[in-house]
Amino acid sequence: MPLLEVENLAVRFRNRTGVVPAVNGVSFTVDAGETVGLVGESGSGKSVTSLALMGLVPGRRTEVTAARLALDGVELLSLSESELRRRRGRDVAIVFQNPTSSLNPVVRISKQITEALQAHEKLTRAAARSRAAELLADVGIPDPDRVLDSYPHRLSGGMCQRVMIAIALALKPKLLIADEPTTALDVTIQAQVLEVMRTVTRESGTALILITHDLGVVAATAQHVNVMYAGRIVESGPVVDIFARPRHPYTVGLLRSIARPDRDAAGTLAAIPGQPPDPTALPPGCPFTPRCAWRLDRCSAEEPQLTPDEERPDQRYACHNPVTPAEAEAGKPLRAAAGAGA
Amino acid sequence: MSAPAPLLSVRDLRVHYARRHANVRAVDGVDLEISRGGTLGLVGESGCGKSTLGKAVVRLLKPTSGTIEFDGCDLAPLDERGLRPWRRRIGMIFQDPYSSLNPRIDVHAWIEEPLRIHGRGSRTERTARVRDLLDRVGLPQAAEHRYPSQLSGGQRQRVGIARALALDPDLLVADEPTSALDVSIQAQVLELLAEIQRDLELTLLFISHDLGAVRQVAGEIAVMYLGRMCELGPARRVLDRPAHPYTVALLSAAPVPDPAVEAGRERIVLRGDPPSPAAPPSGCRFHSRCWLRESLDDPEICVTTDPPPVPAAGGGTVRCHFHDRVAGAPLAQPPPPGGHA
Repeated sequence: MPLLEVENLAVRFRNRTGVVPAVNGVSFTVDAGETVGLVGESGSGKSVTSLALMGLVPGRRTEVTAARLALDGVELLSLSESELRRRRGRDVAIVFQNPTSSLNPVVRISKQITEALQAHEKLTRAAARSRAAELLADVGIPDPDRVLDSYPHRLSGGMCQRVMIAIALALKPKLLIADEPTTALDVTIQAQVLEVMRTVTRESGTALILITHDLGVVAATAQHVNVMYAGRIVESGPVVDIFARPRHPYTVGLLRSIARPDRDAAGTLAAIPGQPPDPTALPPGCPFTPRCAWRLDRCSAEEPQLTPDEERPDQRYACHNPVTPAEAEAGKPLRAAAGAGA
Repeated sequence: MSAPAPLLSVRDLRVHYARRHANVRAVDGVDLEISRGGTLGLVGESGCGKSTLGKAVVRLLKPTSGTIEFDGCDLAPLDERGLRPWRRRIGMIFQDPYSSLNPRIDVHAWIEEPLRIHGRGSRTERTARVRDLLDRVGLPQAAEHRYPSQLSGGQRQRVGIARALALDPDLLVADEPTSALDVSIQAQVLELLAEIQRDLELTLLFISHDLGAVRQVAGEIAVMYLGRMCELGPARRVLDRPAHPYTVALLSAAPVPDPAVEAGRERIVLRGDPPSPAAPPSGCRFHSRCWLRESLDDPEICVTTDPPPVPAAGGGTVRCHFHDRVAGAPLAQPPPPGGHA
């Protein structure tokens, strides 16, 4: 049984003008100890998905529904707020993007770590502090005692993010969610933090959902990847397969849009024209249709469902006219498909 | 063929900021030049002084010392009045398209403003010019009377580019022009910049922390660390055969969207954070984090002596006492080629 099962998750925000479907029927699973990448551009619904997993989508005006949303067999949506509180941190923990603003600026680091420990476990202050020092050492902080006595503004962004990871791992959660954990950091510091995340998740057997817009980070860290667009998963599969043989036109475009430091671009970088759709006014059918070079007439009539690839069933994509390997190489459709839209 | 005179030539430039307790040496003795029609990519991490250098070049800042020779004239000592005739020849594109536009000024007025200030044309001529510029940067004519809040990030950046182009500059300084944008939009804006640079024969100083973006647009690359240049040279040479241990580390840290490459690569993870530019290390500024120095048993010369720029194999210059040992170091091997060509 997978550690996390998400089936048909939908999150809708109601505002004055109507309903905004931020997440629209997302299904995926995470196995124990596995690292899964959730990739997409702003507005694709990747962060809202993660917040829904934590039970952190607030407000009376939001609606979270799912056929199944279960961690270790426990259905999360039916839990009361107090039960959720008990599980947050212990079962699932989250690391946010901006480390300097997710720490409390007027509270010493020691208190911010021990607070989580003491809320869930009976520990003396001294025991909690020494546990906190161990946690900081685990995330590669060279002088834990100095850091424990510091306020966040004394620490660099990379150090703050390590502290956030230490806090998230304090209660040995089964699942860690990291929402753009390195986006605010410089590349050399990003490399340090990713190294820490790889090491600690491997050593503690913690499963990781890594939310990022950076396919390079996914390639370096995850085993499985879900590509999101307009609140949907459009392609999903083992990282090695998705990068070597993308089938969804959006995945193909995204991969071709990246300027690589180690290689000259083959042809033009601007592989995806136009802009992501406005979530309040999604086009009918497949939401990628208006930007898609592979579109057929039926694409704007009928939304494609996530279906397994015939040869590699681990790879799934939602597309009526999937990209062939030769087309992915060329970056454009090579067949004059009957009924192709102009 | 002799090299044409550079359009921009910066010599021993220093920009120091006086802070309460310290003197921050943001740019501390930088030399660089860009030939007419060329593109220099300036890379480095936050705090290395690359944005300060860019602002000094367009003279939004007054340098502490050094010269900024633009088309034969030293801009460094000029005051606002003296700079005015030069302003129209240097355009700047800023990083954040959300905060660099005025929310209360519409697209037309924003692009027209520099034309008005420099007294270009009649009102009708200016309007025609604004429409040309919208076309040039790929914005629909319908965008002319929109406000920034009605535009996406990519569209805003296009507006910023149109304004920078309004006065037909010779030099364009672009400070992280794509960093705030989504991947697919970044690619569009990079393509646009490359196209404009080609068509208008602009000289471009492209400041970025993104080595991939720099590879796509720049002919030459300069790598900065703590206010100094580590390495400078033809883009391919710097990225494929880096001669400075810091460049090697930067490249090794940059994630590559290819699991085959990522799985096979040896990573240099630098220890610690960059030191403060208010108290830079003695000698070579990179010595406190240098993996090469560590592998050579911490030679003393790195701490005592600032390495001078010396020619690097394959072109350009490098400032490292042991640059000839970089290529042989086991960690500096380029990653194995990926699955597809």
